[in-house]
Amino acid sequence: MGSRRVSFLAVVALAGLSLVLAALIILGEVLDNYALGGGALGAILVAYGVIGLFLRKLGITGPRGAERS
Amino acid sequence: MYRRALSWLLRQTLKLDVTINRVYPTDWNPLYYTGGLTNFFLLVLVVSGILLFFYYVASLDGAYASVAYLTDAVPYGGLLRGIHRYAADAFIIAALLHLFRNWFTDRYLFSRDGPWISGMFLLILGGFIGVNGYQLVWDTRAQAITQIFVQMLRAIPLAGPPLAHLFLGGPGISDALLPRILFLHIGTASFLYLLLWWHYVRLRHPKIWPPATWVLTTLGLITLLAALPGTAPVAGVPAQPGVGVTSYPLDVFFLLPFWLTNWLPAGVVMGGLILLFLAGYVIPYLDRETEPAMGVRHAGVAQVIDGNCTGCELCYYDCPYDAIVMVPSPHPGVTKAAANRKLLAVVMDSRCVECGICVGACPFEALELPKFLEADLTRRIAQAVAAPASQTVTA
Repeated sequence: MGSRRVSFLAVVALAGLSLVLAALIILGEVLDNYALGGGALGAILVAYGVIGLFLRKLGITGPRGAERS
Repeated sequence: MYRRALSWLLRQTLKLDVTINRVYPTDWNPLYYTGGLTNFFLLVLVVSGILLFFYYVASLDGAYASVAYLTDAVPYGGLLRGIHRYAADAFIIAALLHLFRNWFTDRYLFSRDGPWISGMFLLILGGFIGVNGYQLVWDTRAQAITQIFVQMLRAIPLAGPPLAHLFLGGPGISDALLPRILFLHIGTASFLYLLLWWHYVRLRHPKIWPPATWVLTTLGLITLLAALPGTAPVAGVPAQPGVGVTSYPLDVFFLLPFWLTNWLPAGVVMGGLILLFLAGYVIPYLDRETEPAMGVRHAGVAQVIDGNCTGCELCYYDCPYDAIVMVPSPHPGVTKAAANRKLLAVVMDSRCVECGICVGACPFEALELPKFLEADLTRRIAQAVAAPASQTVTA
């Protein structure tokens, strides 16, 4: 399996996980469980950070055109 | 020995860089942004600290109750305290990584002594602010570290007792104490930004902010850590004046010196801290190269030859020390190229390190180092090239 495919699957998986975490934030708010909401908020930020890394590896985001070799 | 140890550490640092660059794109290597990350954590501390400030009551009777109320009754209050606490730990970790990286990669010598010295002040004050933060809660831990801190202060010869009196606001702990600690916590944190200006002032392209992916990841980790069961900072037991505190939870990033007082007198710990930081200030001056060739560094502050300057800004962009500013030209230049200039380069003496980069940057011969003229250098190079291999051309 190529590294691009791995990166693509990682983005899809993390996006799915982020959706679940977003639901947990809402659930935490509904239940007044601030640890749950806060934890899910932290986890979703980490997931977004890692998605950013894989998007970069896929070449979707990255250095400006002038900086690309 | 010292130089060999630093060479080994440099090699290990570069190996670590290479390893991380296999995972992250080179311009996202977090070790290249230790300073930017420290700055980011400082901002997180300031923002979360402002929110905490709205609930805090700076009195012996009200402080603990206000913190307990914030933690237990205010929505996300406990999480906010956790973010403030773990961002402080992250600040110290990033600052130490920044210090060691710049030390091991020789980025503290010569004109970089300014950032090094200001960085040491930032680290000391950052640690001091962290200790103040633990005192503000006014639980048994705060009581214990305040008592030890006062002992440390009093152990300083001559200045110690008046400093302790000033810190306490009287001969002992009273209601004057917590407003003073709050002032020291917030006032010193504000002062950090003045020190940051000093830290950056001679750096042309300081990386003051990490890439977005690291902003998200680190903020996420701090938030996650603050929310995990068992990690949120809980207000322990309210301070009980007159009762000796025998144990308290330890934060290794801020409270290690207080832990050492279990075995050493407070005065010895204070003396050790002072010696440690004095050693830190000396580091840039320990290992300066002294070969005769380094005499080039006394080449004099760069001078602009007014008639030749075209206002092209090349020197302005190339100067790594931000020592050149472009001002509106008061009159035309003399040469044909400079006749229609709009700007004129001006060298700021206080920032120039006499490196000569601007001389190389200028295609119009409009900059010179007064004791190291370009024509002389060209002549010496020509002589060196023409001379037999056995001869050496010296200045």
